[in-house]
Order: sequence, then structure tokens, then C-alpha cells
Amino acid sequence: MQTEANNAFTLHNVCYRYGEGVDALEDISLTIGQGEKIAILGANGCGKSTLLKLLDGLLFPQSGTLTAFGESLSAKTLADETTACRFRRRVGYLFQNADVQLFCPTVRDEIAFGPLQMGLPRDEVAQRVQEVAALFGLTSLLDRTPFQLSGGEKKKVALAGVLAINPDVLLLDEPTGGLDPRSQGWLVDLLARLHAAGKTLVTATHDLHHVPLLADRAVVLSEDHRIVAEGPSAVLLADLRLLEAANLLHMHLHRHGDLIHSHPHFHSYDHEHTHDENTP
Amino acid sequence: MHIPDSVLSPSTSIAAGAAMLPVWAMAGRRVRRDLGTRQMPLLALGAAFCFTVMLFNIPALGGTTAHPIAGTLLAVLLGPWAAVLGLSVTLAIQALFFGDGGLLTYGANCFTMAFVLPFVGYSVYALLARRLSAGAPARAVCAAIGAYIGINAAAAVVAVLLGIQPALFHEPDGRALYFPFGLKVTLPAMLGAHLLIAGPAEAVVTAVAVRYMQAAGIMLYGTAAPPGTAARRQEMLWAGLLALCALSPLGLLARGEAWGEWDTQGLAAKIRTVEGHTYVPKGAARAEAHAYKGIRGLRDYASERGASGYLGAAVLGIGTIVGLLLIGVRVLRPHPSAAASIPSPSQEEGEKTSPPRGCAYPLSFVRRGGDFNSNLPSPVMEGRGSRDGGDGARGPSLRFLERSLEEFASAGAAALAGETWARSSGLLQRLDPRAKIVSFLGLIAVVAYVSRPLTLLALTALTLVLALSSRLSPGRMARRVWLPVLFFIGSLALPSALSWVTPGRPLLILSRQPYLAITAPGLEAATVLMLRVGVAVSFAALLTMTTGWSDLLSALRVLPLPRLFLHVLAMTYRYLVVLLQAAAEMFVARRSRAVGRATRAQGREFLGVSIGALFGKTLALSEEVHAAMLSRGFHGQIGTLTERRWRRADSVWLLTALLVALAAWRWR
Repeated sequence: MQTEANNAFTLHNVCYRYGEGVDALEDISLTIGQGEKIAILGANGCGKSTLLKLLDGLLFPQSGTLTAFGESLSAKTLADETTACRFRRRVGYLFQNADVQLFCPTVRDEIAFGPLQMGLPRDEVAQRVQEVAALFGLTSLLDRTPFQLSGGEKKKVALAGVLAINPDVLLLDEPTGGLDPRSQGWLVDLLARLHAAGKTLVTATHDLHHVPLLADRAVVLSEDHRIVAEGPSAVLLADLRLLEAANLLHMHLHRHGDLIHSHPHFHSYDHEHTHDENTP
Repeated sequence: MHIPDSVLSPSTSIAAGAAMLPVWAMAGRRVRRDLGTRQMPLLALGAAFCFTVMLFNIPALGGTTAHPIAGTLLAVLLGPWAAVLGLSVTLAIQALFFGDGGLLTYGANCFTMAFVLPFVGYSVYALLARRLSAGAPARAVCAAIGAYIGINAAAAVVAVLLGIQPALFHEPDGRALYFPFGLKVTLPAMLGAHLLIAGPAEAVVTAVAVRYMQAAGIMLYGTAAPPGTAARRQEMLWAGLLALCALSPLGLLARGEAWGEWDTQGLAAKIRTVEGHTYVPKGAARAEAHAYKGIRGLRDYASERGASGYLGAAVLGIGTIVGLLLIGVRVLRPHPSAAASIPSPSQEEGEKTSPPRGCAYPLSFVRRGGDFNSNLPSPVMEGRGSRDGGDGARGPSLRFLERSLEEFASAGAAALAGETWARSSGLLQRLDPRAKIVSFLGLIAVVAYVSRPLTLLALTALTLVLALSSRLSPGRMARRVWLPVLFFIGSLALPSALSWVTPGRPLLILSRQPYLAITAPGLEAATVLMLRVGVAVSFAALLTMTTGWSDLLSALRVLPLPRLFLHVLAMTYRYLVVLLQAAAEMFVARRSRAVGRATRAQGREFLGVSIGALFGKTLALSEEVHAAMLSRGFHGQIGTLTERRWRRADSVWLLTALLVALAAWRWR
């Protein structure tokens, strides 16, 4: 039996709604162990981003309890600056829209932002910026302004800014969204290496074909903001009925050799997908 | 409405800037108190929003277009104090990076557009809407009236600032040193354009935008929580007092008799249309009477002691007004317990729609986390497409869309191109940005005093040499500096060469009956004015074109500017491009669905809705940016690693600039 301190996050009956009674999460109970890689699957608007924001202490549940690394995570505990600093150092969040994360005048300042906020000495920060930039191949872009970057470069800088803090947990909101196939491959590779180095990965996505690489375990959120399934990602991805109910599949005419037919499915870029036995 | 450098006398610029200091200080305090760490992204995005909105072209009278300022709108949304800061940042970006408005006249431009406009607009709106519920459609009408009066009040103050120049600053023979036309010309010119064209357009767009935001569930400032009652009363009081203070110069102009040298009757009539008794809040008469005495003394002062006396009088007057305001607030502040017991007229509304985290700004519309593109109703153009199609026969085409799109594109391109010039290796590019900023600001200040044509020509030559040695092509300088100067200042300055404005020895007689000639002193004054503005704008352009954005920002740190201002400035410039793209996408979507022509009314409605939608995106984006900052440990201050080393070349440059400035002063 694991104790709470060994878990990165523990959620008990967490509910969250945005004012005016707009529900975002209903009765979420979930445990995320340290060093685990887990995916949160769900269609647009089912509450994935909200869940990540709760885990990052950016929003706080109206009811239910939430603990991070065995300590309660609430507006009250984060109001204490040392606790907040310790927590922010351990958890990094990659936003879905890289633009919101690039608010500094230059790439260099962007990568340095987190470490400087944490109060690290300047020369150490400068060295860390160089290291992270080298890891991401961004060294030549350090003096660029964010609006001179391509979409893929923005994503890299955003992730570099998060990794410069060297967090234990990475919260990733649609990390591969908006990237070309090559950059997607590069990113998934990098994330796999980070996991091998001991980081906890929490990935929110509706793009199923990277899930086997990004997560050993998955939870599926339904469109009424509840957890409808939880288990090994390989098992969940084989359950087409579940995925269809969560609106994660699409349906269109396609061809297999001479057979043209239509059935709900998801697929990778080469359109490889599975069939139910009873699909014609 | 942007006043360029060297059109106003330096003392007027300084007086206006001094008037802004207490306003900025107060605004900074209020906004920090209301918003905490949220202030930075919200102000930055508010400013970027304003910048983008100013690039919209509203179809106005007879196929012309006007651009909105949206100052009143911003005040209605974020409150007047946040509007002051947001608009000030917008104006700084325009002056620094886009050559719109001068560097030395920054204070004057802030006074008119970032203070008078939002405060007058907001006070009118707050006064009219004080009994209305948060969602009442009439709020949109109140905002429209506020916007109309606000923009005209600002235009009137610009007219006064320009119009008092020839009376206060002229050479013994009567030639104007700065702006050549008196109030007789400036008031009708500014007010005519704003009362008839820009004002109505701004009013309609504001109304539609406010309506859209009410429908989208975005809460307007001051309509949120029940405890707002006390705060709102005080807000109203402040707004009212400051609006009076801003309007007081107008109040006194209405008593045209004091200023005998002008066509008093026409002027008084003009003023009545602007200042008319319909909207001046109660108690205006008292304040007006006070201001009247103040400014009449000022006028006496000015005539006896000249410009320096005027400056002293202005500072004194501003001090008195601020002192009175402070006393007024102290006396009239409601007792805390009394305030708590006052029932709110909009209590029910407040409870239903109170914001989730007890913050002054409603965030409830940010529904689905990061996905801010999908949570707002798309620009509600449904059902209008058919009207567009059927309407082919009348109304202007979608030119305003094209024109706005062009402006979005050119502003975005300018932001990017600036970085490329700054990256090429030339003389100025190699210098430390701190040396450049200090030297060019000094030179611009000195140029404002130079009135000898030869000295000005020498300085013009200097700007050309600097441009060439910094690899800026003369053609580019001409397009960026001299063309606009010729068009905008030339069209103003050249009429002052005529005998009607500047009497004197005729050079070329255009007509004998009535007598009209180009006079020698007139031509000289016009040339001097144009050269001076050209040189000042060239210096500013040399500074901004050869300095990268981040370098310029780090250099601004040498000036005694608040850190918050610099951070907000940095962030505004950053998100400008994002909002420009969002606006351009909306416009392209609109154009792709529009067949044929739209009426002016449809065009304005579309713009109002677009502005509403854009503001929704702005707020959502600012919430996300704030979350992203918090997530990486933000606690109020931003650090930077960008540093530059001071070299000998920088000292040499600074010394040279000092010598040039001294020489120009010696032969001014």
C-alpha cells in the first residue's frame, strides 16, 4: 500500500466549476504516483485543461481535497511564499497555446524567467539557460524575440522555459498539438527520455496515437466532466466503445485494398487503425 | 490626435507631463491594489488591445473612415485607472516603435488621450448608468454617450494645447515659434472633425461592443460585487472631480471675453456644443468658477512673464487642483459602516454574477481553461450575410475591412522589420542603446528650441549622415520621416505662410482683392516649423530603427521610469502581434463571407462586435498568461539576463552628441 507522500498527486471527490454554474469537473478521484506516466483523455471541453490547472495550483477545487507530494494543495498553503516556491520548483506546466507562455522580451529571458523567480544566483541561471538551450538546439535563437519564432520553435522555447526549473512533474496540455509530424516525433522522443530520467509525466490530450508512448496508464473524462474509465493505456485504447462514448473517435469513409467502408476509429498518420470483429 | 515633437513648446510639453505625474502615481496605486500580480498581464493585454483597436477603420461620413480610440470603452471595461495606464502604454509603444506622436510630447498626448478621454468618457457613463443593472441594454447607450463626449473633450483639449501656442510663444515680430494657428482655427478644426465624424463612429462602435460583452457574459467594471457600492461611489467622485479638472480649461474658454483677441462669439458657441449643460455633472459650476479664477491668473502671468511664467503657473494650478481633490475625497469619503449598510441597487445582479475569486474583474467567462478561441460566441455575424448580399446597390464597399487589414499587416510587419534593421551592422547599431537613448532624447529636446533655418539645415544633414552610416537607405528615412512630416505638418504649416495668418513683406501676391500673399516671415516660419519637426522625428526614428526591441527596453531602464511600466511595455509589445493576428483573422473571415457591399451601419456593427470579441480574447489571454507566469513562480517582479557592456565608442558618441547639442543651442 502506497502512502500519500509517495504520490505526486492525490485527488478525492474533487469538483470544480467556473462561476455561473458552468461545471468543469465532477467528482474526480485520482492518484498519480511519482515517476509515473499517465494520460488524461477526453474530447474538447471535458475538463482536461482544468484538471491540469488544479494539479498546478492555478485553480482550486470548490469541493473535495487535493494533495501534492503528501501536502495539502490549496489557496491557503500556496499563499505562503516558501511553500509556493517549493511547489513551483517541483511542478512544471506546458500550456496548450505556447504564446501565453512566452511573455518575456527575448528567448534568453524567457528560459531564465523561472530560475530567476526561484531566486537562483544569476551566473547559475545563465549557465542553466545555456545548457537547456543547447539541449533544445535553441542557442542561435537566444536573442530573438518570441514573435520571430515559428510554431515549433515557440513550443520548444516554452518547454525549455519549463525544464529550466528542472521540475519533478511535467503537466503537458496537448503537447503535440499544432506541431508538424517531425516535431511531434522529436517531442515524444524527448518526453520519453525525460520519463526515463525519472520525471512524472501527466499528458492531457485528445490525440490518441501518441498515447502508447506517452502513458502507461490513462483516465478517460466523459463530456459530462467525470472519470468514466481508468486503467492501462493499452487496454483503454483497445476499447472502441468506451472511446466512442467519450467522443474520441471519428468516422469517415476510407479504403483497405478494395474495401471502402466507414466506421468509428482513430489512427496514426499512416492511417493504421484497428477494427471491431463485427465491422463489415 | 497624436501631437508630434516640436509642434508644442517644450514648456507646454513639460507642463502636460507634470500634470500626468500625480495621475500615473494614483493609477499605479489603485491598479496594484485592485489587481495584485494580475495587473501586469491584464494591463499589457489591455494596452495591446487598445493599440489594435486604433488600427480599425470605422466607416464614417461620406465614404471616409475614422479610427476609434476606445479609451472610454477600456475605462468602462477595466475602470478609469486601468484605462489611464493601458492607454499610456499604448501611446508609448506608438511613439517609440511606430513614430506616432512625439517623444517629448508624450506627456501631452497622455494627458489628452490617456487621461481626459477615458475620465470624461467614464464619468459621463458612470453618472448616466449609476442606477442601471449590470446587464441593462441602456448601459450601452450610456457608454456611447460617454464615448462621444470623451473623444470630443480630448479633441478640445488638443485644440487648446495647440491653439495657445502662437499667443504664448512668438517672436517679437509676431511670427509663431511653434504651432502657428490660434484657437480660432484649432477649435473648429479639431471639434468639427470629432463632433461630426470620429465622435459618432466611436459612439456606435462603443455601444455595439458593450452590448456584445453584456451578451457574452463579460462583466463591465464596477458592476460586479455588492461591496462595490462604496468603492463605486468613491470611484464616481474621483472620476467626476478629475473630469471637471480636465474640463476646466474649456469652462474658461467659454468666457471668451477674457481672451479678447479671439473671435469670442463663434468660439463660445463652439464650446457650448461641447461642454453644453446637458452632461456637466452637478457641482460643475462651482469647480468651473474656481478654475476660471485660476486660469485667468495664469493668463495674466503668461502675458507678463512669458513662457517660464506660464510653466510656473501651470504647475501651481495643477498642484492646487490635486490638493483640492485630495481634500474633497477626505471630506466626502463615506464612513465604512455607513457604506456597508447602504443597500446596493444591483445587489441581486451582483450575487448572481459575482466573480469567482473575489477579484475586481470578472473572469467567469473563461470557461474551458486554455481553449479561449472556442469559449466565446464567434463574431456574431450570423444572419447578416444575406443582408450584405442583397444590399449591393447602396453603401460603401468593404473598403474599411481592406484598409484595417492593411494596417494590421503593416504594424505587424513594422514590428518584425524593426528587428532586421536593428540587426544589420552600422554605426548606430553598434552603440550601446543607453548611450543612444540619452543622446537622442537630449538632441530632440534641444531641437525644440532651435529656430535658425541654417542650424536646422545642418542638423538635417547630420540626420542624413547618421542614417547613411547606419545603413538605413535615404528612401526609407524619407518614407518614415519626411513624407509624413510634409503631409501632416506641411499642410498645417504652409497656410501659415499666407498673409492672413502671418502678415509681413509679401513675396508672392496671390490675390489683391481680397488681399492674399505669401509673406517672407510667414514662409520662414513655415519652413522652420517643418524642418524642426522633421529633424526631431528623424532623431526619434534613428533611435528606434537602429535599436532592437529588447535592447530599447533594457536601455529604457536608465531613465527614471517605474519598473512596472517597463514590464508592461515589454509585454504589450510582445502580445501586440498575437492580437493583430487574431483581429486580422476575424477580418479575413468576415471578408470571405461578405458578398458585395455593406452599409455603413453594418460595417460599424461588425466592428463593434469584432471589438467585443477581441476584448473577450484579450481577457482570456491575459488570464492564461497570468496562470503561465504563476506556474513558473512569478511573484511580482521580472528579472532579466540581458546585459550590455559600455565601451569607449559609446562615450565618444555621447560626447559628440553633447557637442552637437551645445552648438545647436549656441546658434539656436
